[in-house]
Amino acid sequence: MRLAVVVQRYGTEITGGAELHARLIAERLAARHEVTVLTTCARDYVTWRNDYSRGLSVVDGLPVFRFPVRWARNPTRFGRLQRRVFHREHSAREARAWMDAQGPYTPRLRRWIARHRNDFDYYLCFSYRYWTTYHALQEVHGKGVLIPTAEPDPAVEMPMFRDNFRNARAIMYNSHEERDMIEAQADNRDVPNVVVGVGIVDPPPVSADRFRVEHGVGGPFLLYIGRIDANKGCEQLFDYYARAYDVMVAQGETPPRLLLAGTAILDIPDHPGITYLGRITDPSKYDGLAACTALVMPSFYESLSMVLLEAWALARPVLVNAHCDVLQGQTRRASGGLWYNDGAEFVEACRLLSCDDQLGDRLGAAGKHYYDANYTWPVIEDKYEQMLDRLQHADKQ
Amino acid sequence: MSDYRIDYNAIDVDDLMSQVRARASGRAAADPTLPPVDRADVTLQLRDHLDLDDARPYQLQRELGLDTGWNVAPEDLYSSHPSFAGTVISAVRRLLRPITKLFINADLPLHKQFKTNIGVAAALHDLMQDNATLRAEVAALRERLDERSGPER
Repeated sequence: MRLAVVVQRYGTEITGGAELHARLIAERLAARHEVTVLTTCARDYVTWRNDYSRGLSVVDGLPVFRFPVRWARNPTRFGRLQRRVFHREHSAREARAWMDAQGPYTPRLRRWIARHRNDFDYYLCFSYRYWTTYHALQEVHGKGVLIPTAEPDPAVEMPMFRDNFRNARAIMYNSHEERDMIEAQADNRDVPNVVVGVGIVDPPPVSADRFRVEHGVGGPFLLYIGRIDANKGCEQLFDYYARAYDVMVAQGETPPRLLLAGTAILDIPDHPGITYLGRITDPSKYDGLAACTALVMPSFYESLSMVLLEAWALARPVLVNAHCDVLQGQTRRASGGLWYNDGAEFVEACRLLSCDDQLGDRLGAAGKHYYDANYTWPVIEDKYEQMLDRLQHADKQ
Repeated sequence: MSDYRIDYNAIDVDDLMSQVRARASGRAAADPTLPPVDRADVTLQLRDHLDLDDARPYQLQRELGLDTGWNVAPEDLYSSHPSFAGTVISAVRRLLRPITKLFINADLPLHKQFKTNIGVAAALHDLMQDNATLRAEVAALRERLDERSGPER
């Protein structure tokens, strides 16, 4: 089959989010199909500045067509429009203005797709809320396979997206919670769909000891990997961790350290238990996951946490924010960790995981079993192939 | 953490989380000697406080001994500094009131806010009274416990 992957950014430098998801899927599908990537010249998702050259390039063997973003995002205008469309009744014109302000505004990409609509059998469009996917789905009516990567934020409730959710040829959801949320908004249960998610890069051989030596870590520790940002729940994590630390010290227990790896947007508190590692390499990340007492994921909004899967792939338990339905749902289905609704629950869960190694190992093993059954690449690829075959079969009839 | 009931061969995370929650809420739910807390009843009580008809806010305000000036009132929209200029400005605002009401009606949201403030004050009042009662009961219980355990030390 000839497949086009439409995504807002694409490149080996982009190591997270829906863009990494798109790249991993594109690379895997390319083994059996003719895959072309349609994207923008942007590397930075805040400004959409044109950092890559326009036109055709090759990334890891895949042809990538890049289209220039016409204007960088104006954060003031975008913020003003977003407050209006998220929290007030708004007109369709205001919603379109918000979409244009959000970007990446790429009219050439839309025109290109309109001209080449029949060059591809299906268009795999990632991230429902961005300009590229929103308009691509409208141009390729009947050929668009949507991978929404939706989070439970007000955008998903906007009426402007309902048609795309209903008219997509098929939808590949990241989680059961994401499917429930979108079906509740768009009433699109008749659209062919499957909960599939994404696999992860195969972890290299890991060594917990190597990580402990490299970073000078002894004893139990919780590990956070990702952008250290208030939007990711890190501010709350610092607060809850400090409480857990105080309670455990008062009880004569050894509190786990909290290690943070990733880019820090937020000021990291000066606390005896908190250590900032900075950005770490992938091998070091996997070593850290293998060594940790638990991976902690404090985010309120996630459509699928890949680092959660990485922890389970290495048979380590997780501790997640229960206010994120997806994280809690996945952890519950996997029996791969614990979750917390408030500071007191975080303290207890933290104490339990730190003091009971056997429990941590059992939860990690359950997580590994869940990962093997649902998120290894053969399982993911099989779900994509089955859906594409199903669509092709239906189209031929 | 030996006080957790864990079957390591078949871990039930929901059961584990209910134990975590029980301990997190001060072990109250795990203590069979204490009656269970009816959270739905607490929610109903709060709703009762906030669900005020038109007469009750004024009655509550009197019961709580609150000065009428503490809460928002439609007059706040027109009042100004008590100087001569302020009085004039205030009078002009009142004169223009029928015209401004053509464009916005601030009285309605102000009245809603007035009622909400009273409801919150009443809830806080009851909470503080309950808290004071509980503290007195805890002090009395502690005293009785000290009296009973004293001779055995």
